[in-house]
Amino acid sequence: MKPPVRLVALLTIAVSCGGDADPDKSAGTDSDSGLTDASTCDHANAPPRALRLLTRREYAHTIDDLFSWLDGDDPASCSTHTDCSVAFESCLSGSCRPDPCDVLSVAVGPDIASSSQSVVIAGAFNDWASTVEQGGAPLSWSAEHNLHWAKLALPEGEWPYKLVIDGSVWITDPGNPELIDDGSGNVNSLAILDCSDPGTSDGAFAPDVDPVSDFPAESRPSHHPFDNAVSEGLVTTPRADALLSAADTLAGQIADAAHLLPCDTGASAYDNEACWLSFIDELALRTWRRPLASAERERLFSYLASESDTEAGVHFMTQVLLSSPHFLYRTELGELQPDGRYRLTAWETASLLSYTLWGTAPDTELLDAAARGLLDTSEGIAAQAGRLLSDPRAGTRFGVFATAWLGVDAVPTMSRNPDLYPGYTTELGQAMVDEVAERAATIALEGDGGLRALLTGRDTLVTPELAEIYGIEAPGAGWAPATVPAERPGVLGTPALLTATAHSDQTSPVRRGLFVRERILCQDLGTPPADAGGVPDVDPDASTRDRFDQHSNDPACSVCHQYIDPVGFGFEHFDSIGTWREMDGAHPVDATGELLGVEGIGQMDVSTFYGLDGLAPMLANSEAASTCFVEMSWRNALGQPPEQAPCAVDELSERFDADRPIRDLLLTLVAADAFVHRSEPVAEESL
Amino acid sequence: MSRSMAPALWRPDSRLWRPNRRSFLQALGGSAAALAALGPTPAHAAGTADNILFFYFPDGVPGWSQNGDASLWHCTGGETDFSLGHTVQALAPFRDRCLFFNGLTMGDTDNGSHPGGAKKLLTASDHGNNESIDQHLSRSVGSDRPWHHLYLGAQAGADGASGDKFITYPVAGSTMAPEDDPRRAFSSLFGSGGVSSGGSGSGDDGGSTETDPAVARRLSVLDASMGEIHDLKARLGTTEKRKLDLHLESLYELEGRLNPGGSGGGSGSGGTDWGGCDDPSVEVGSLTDSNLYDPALFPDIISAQIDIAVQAMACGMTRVVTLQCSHHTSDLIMSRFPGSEMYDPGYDMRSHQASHYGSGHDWGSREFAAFDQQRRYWVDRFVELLTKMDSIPGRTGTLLDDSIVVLCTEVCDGNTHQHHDLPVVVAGGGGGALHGGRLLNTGGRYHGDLWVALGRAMGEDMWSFGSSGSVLDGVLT
Repeated sequence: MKPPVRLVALLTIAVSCGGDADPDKSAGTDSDSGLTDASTCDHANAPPRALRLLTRREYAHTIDDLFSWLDGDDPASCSTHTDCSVAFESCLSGSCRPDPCDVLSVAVGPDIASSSQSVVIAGAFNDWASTVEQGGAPLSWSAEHNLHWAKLALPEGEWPYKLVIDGSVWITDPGNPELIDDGSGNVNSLAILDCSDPGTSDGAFAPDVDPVSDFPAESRPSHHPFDNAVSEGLVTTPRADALLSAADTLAGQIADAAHLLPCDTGASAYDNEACWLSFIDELALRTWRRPLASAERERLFSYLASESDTEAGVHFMTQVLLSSPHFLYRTELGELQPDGRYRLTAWETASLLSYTLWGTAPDTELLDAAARGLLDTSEGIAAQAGRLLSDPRAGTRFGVFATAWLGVDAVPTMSRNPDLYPGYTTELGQAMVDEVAERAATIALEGDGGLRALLTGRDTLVTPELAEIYGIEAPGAGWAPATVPAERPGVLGTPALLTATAHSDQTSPVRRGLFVRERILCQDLGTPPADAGGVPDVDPDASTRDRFDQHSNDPACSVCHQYIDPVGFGFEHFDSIGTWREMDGAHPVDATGELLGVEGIGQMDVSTFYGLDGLAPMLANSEAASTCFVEMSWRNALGQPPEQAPCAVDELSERFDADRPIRDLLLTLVAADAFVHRSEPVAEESL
Repeated sequence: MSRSMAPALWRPDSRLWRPNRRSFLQALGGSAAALAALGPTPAHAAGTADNILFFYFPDGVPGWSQNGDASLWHCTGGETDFSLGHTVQALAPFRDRCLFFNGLTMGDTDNGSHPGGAKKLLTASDHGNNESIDQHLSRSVGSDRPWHHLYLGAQAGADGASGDKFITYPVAGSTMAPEDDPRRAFSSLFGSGGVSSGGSGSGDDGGSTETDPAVARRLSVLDASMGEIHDLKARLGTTEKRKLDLHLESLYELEGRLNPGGSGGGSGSGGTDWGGCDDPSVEVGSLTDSNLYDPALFPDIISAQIDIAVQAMACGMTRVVTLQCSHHTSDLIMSRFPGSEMYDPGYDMRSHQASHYGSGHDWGSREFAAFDQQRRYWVDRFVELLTKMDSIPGRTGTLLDDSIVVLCTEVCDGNTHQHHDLPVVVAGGGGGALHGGRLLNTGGRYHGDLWVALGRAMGEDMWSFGSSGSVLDGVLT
């Protein structure tokens, strides 16, 4: 039931409302482009190549995951040992785990024996057999890991052994610091297999850094409510200072955690070079999100080996790793294609997918998919995206999107008048925000909800304090599902949104009306004209509605305010913390509202409604709201304005309405051609 | 509203940047050359300001009303025989070291807009299409200090403020957030928060400074990072060049703090300690992690940030400071400030709310009366800043005599929000460069011309800035 719409019409009208045409509306394509599955977009449409600084939130999740991985909590799936970090991990029951306590794991690099040479393990357990024929345990060469490896399961105990190269050269195991003299002048390696010592740390191994508190806040430019605007991801000096300190702290923690490191920090780094190189590779994969070039690997190892104390070397190397632009920036540079665009590498694609849908670094399976070329096609991307969207982390990330989109993040620090709202606390404010995040994630990712469900749905999760604001019985002692009254549907009816758009002691039809225009409909009212003057005198005893009605009566103001205030009046039943009210001071509330030009500023269609339950369905029915949601989703994913890829965004907007599942939108967005293509930026300009 | 706790005194655990001659010698190996490197800062040309501080408050002043009432802010009269405007009366004791202006304009673009004004204020460029003057000076004359720029806020990030609500532009079109937490600002400058001697923890272990292996490691890390960025730049050519250049610039500044006399960023000797740096401290009242944006704490916060800014300049740690109070269209509930004239626990009066006092100066209007009080409150804070600076001995008299202190806001009259007749005050002696005690009737000069003049007073040989191509007459000696 959508009214016929034409985005192009918007550009010509906005001038009457105080100035420039709406800069935020995409140029749009002709309506005759049609709704096809394949993209019809001109190949020139691709967002600019970019370096995207990790946001505080992304940094926090990334290091949380890094520490979990180090602590062994994030087992990669595998089918063979070489699917794992074979020098120190085994593939057990389909997951990569640290080598079991009764396994002797040996790895030697090409500096010890080249790929064409044979290496066997000879020891007391096989009568010191120096060849395979005599019972020696052979090592296998792994081209992928560039080393010889073997894992021997042995009974617990102490086992002397040696490695034999090509059947005749006997050496001690370079990866094992334990040595034993056999009493006749021979020094052998000693395998100590002891399963009685758990050897794990007490408590969780977690980062000692809180980026959200410790790092400077991101700057969010106009029209981009998210913290990840590409243009604003700048390492200013205060941010550099915080990042340097954080890297120092984290590196120290990692270096300290000897029991979690796969190689012996008590020995010289050169004694365990193969092991450390393998560790560096793995660490870089988790931090730089791509394989290392050999020069990089060598350089990082040289940092590690530069200290006589290997633990100090690990600290230094890790600190460099975490201070590096390769860690701090997610690259979206790509590789030049014949058509002049740049296609993101598989690794860049993995990062983009992971940070977009989970807000953190790619996990082992995603890294693996990148390595195997599975992200080279949109089908492959869609398959991984489907997996990511089914994980709880996608819900968390979507909650972050929703609270930023709706502008409710700051609610916990907003001040309310203590006489009018004595029960308002920071904790209540935080619960308000959490409710929005939970509701949005549940609708979009646990169900098949679309924008209509977000705007008009009545199912949510509440605490007893929130239930009181909603005017319903508390459904439980803590968070519990509830259905809210029909008069306050969707995200517009949440205490968070109503608090964020009200002053400490009074409602604000202007802020609430502007919220609808800017965040739900993506309509920009522009700046007031120079001769707008100030606000006319008002009668302080009038109702809120009447006071603002007087503003709209001034023709200099009403040009724009006719689009704003009448929408905001529809919210008047809700006070500054979102509680239903019948009275506004001495006046009964009249929540009659008018929605003028729902599809665009300048259009003169007007719909009258009463209250939020009248407004919300109108918004859901509009094409402007669906288009706006697509644009917001694009901004959230790309960190760039939709104008950078107008054709792609238009195609997405054409295909979606308020009833299509949001999950489908996300899947289609990340599988879109423009998602993984970039172009050379034309000029540096502020956006 | 009474405070339940005694004011908390925030002291550093170690003084990383206290001019400590002995430790400085240690870092340089105690050579004779090191001895020669100590002593006063490189001599300034006569008549050059040591420091510049921009003090911003939001939402304009009771200027020319919609009905044509005369501005309460602007001074009247001749160049030397002028009368102070009602709102700036508190500046009387500093009159002979102040410059007042009539007729400064930010131009017609976006005239009538708060964000439009905020974008132009320090950038002298429509839509904020330029680095701001504080950032510009930090890169030139400010770069011989360990902190090229100090950007502090007082609840500037409240209510989710971001983007064009911040007034400092490190690059054209992009803002950065100020440090709103005085405890964090203080630790960063004076505490051991810069370097931790161990691996983990928050870094407040204290410990020795220049000979700390952690310092050496950080310098090596910085070196490695800079090398990686250079390599990346070489590969990318012009793509994201600006971003990487800014990143490099930041790392060089950090290197300069850790390695005075090294390749990064100038002498870094910390300037000359004129005695205002003996024992840095700041009182933070009952500030905690959860009440940073409680309006009742605003007076404590702004005083703390003023103290920190003054001490940073007195210790020679920075020459360029920006102190941002709140942000445009501010919901700051100024009626919650304990001990202030506006204090009224029974009625919330916000900055932007009061600024829209109506079409005329009606003293019977609640909003107008509050707006008058609020704007005098901002002038009082400015006077507090000047007084503190004036109590510290300086090169040409006091720290205030050595410095330039600018009071500014993003519009003229709060109700009409015009960008014309900008209410700016320039205080201080500028090290002899400023010709104070005068009212400059500029007749419509572009405000950027004033920034050019002040930049020259700071010792930069500049003739233009942003959209300004001239030096404002009458400012400099």
